[in-house]
Amino acid sequence: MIHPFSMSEIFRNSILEESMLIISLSLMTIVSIYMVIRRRDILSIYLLAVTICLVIMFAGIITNIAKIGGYNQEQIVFLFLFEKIQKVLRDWPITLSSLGYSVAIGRTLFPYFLLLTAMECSMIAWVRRKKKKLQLLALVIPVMFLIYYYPNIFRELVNSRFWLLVFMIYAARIWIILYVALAFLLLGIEYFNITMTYCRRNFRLIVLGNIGLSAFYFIYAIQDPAQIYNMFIGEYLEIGSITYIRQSIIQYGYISVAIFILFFLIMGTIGMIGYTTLNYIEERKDLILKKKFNSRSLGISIFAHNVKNQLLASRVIYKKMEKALNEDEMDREQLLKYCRNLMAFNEDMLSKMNSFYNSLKDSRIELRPCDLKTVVEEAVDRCKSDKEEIEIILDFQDSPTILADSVRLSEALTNLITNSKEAEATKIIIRLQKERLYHVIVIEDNGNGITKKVIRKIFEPFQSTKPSSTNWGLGLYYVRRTIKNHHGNIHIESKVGEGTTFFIMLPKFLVNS
Amino acid sequence: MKKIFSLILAMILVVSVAGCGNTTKQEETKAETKKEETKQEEPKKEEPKKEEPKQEEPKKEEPKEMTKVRVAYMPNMGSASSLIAARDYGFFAEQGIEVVLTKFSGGPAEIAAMASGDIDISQIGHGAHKLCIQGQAVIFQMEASSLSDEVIGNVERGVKTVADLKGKKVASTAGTSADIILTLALESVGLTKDDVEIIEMDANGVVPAMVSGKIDACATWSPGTKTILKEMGDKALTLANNADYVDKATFQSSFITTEKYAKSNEDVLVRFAAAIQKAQETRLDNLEEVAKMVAKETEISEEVMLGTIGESNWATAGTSFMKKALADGTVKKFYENQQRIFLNAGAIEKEVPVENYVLFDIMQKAYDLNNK
Repeated sequence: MIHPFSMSEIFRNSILEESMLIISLSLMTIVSIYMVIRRRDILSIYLLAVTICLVIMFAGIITNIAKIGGYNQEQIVFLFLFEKIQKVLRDWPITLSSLGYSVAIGRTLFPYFLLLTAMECSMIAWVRRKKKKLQLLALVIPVMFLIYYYPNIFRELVNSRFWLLVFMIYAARIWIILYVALAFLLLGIEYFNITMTYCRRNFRLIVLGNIGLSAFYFIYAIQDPAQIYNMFIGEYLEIGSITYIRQSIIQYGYISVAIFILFFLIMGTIGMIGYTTLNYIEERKDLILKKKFNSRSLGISIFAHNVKNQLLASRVIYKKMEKALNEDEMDREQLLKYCRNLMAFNEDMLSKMNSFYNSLKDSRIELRPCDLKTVVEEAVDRCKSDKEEIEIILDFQDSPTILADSVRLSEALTNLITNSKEAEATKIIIRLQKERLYHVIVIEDNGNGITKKVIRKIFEPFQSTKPSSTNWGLGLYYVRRTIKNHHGNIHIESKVGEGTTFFIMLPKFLVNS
Repeated sequence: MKKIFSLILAMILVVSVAGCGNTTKQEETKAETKKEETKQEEPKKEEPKKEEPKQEEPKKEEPKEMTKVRVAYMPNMGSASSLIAARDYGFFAEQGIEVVLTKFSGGPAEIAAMASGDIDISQIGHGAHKLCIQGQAVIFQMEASSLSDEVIGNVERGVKTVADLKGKKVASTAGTSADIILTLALESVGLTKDDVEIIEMDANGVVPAMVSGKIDACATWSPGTKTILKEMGDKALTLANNADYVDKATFQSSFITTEKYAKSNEDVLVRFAAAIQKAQETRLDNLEEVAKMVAKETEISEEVMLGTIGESNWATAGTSFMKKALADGTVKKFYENQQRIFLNAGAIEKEVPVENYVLFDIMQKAYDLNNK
């Protein structure tokens, strides 16, 4: 029967229908595995665990739905994608105990891993200090419930103890909601404590991913999984809790459910992919930079070209000096000027060679507790000696101690300040901010700004927008390497015509009281 | 990026709010519709389907007011035959009823769907009657007693008699009539369920498990039993069935509804039961034709369905049977006997008057409606 103008028919035949559970689950699994492969950190492993729990739970529920029936032909597509899948699942000779227990495992461990994810993200000192203990403590309730749901134990315990069944159903709902709420509380606190847009954006992806997964989870988490292997317990009916298939959800809210799932899925997927990509970009950046620098021909040709330019410039001065000396009336003043020029060239060459050497040599640095404010002030002083018309404002609320190689770090900062000057900035503000586990030095200028195209390549060696005879384009490469060696990060944001901001994130030095 | 996320968040909020709003609205509408159903019936949407009525022509006058009833059934002769016959012979249409059928594989899920308001009436087998005794639903029409359960052994795995079941893996679904036949069969050779390894499995899963040799025996019902016997040939052997214990246990099946629905829709139930009684009577003489209708509806092969036409004692249903059985108390006795089976098995703790959960008056009124 076709209702050409019925919206629901249109939706039923549309792509939304392809967003049913099976596709969603497959997509989530792929994304999670991709994430672990890419990131290889504990957080992505927790997120994978969360997804796997969800997949196990849903796979069990879908199989159970296939077996118990209660859906119309058209709903089969929504639930199973193909009727064939429904038939295969329906006839799957799995025991009801295994089926029910697998749902119980997924349902019980999801909140636990979600909480671990939140704890991993949390920078609350107390949580970080007691992380191990808290993780173990959080495991107690899920383990208890996994024991309770074990089919043989469940039957033994619940048999003729109706009160226990009811109590455990509500207890399970309560702890599940508490765990998920706690996880989102931790994530929320973390999110709102992040002040840096860059970090916030990154963290938002993780939160969104988790919201997507949890919304999906709660569609069925409220049901008691033991009903799968206790089909004849009338008590479930008495408290109004039975059956995973709610026709009303599928039938009446068909479109809403489809849109709901689709959006949360997209959100979760975008979140997780985004989170992975950020790290991936960082890794890729490192790789590319290394490759670029390793391409010796490029390095040597630029080096040779610059040295040649310098030598040619010196030759001109030498010739002028020779001419001056050969003249009958020797102009001492002129000669002195040539000498100073040569000296300046020499110094400049030495400094360039020095930074070139720095970027080539072993990147070992010595980290010692030092005062961050002093390091920044040293860098600023070094720049001020140039007697240029530039206003540098230091905005430091306090002066934290960090672990750093003060000389190298201050050199790197000098480089950044110089960079701002060269971008014709008239004002530079240097701020210090606290951000989760980092102290962040923010260097903000009102210079020309940098285009997005240039930003993408800015940390690559031998990249410079300035004349090559005076700048070898190694400055920012060197800065980034120094910051990385301090276990930190550097991030740049810029708007052409408005200015550029560098964020240098350095790990906090936590002294155990 | 920021904009995209804000947009997604906003849309989700809208969708969730819309979703919640919808549900409430629909629930309200549903409740309203239910109220209206009794007083003011919905306009007729479709003509009664397919086959021409055999016995009485439905009146093809001006469009009739039809009451929509959502019915849960199981894809087998015992459960689906009177329903599909009543629909396809036009008996429901005669009574102004339009049925929307939904397939389930077991009674408990049907009752759960009724409890959640997704289904109005269910056809259940023996096992789920326990839930009616416990007050979860009420019976308003009796269906023929079932003969569909069998305990089947895998000969190749050394199960040729009931006694061979000792220590073997036997698939069964707790609380079902097949499970009771298994218990009775084991008792007959001095064994209990503790002497065998019970594998809890649903009726759908039992068939492939048995055919692939993963289990040694099973207790299940048709059409699964017929498929197993057909697929396994000589390798499978029926060890026990309902006929062996007919003196100890008869397994009633019934049409049920919730107490709430029964209270506000008595008229619908009477008309529904009248159509069913008439279909049951028609079925007696047209078994093969009805089996083909069921096969078509359930997408099970005609061959398998025709093989199951002996799975119920069809003579225990229909207008002529009801006339006698309602008058002499046979219907009541059937349900009392059934309750005894549950009591003996320890499935229920205390006896409940059958009047508490069997609506004899609906059956009587339905009979009267057909014979006025």
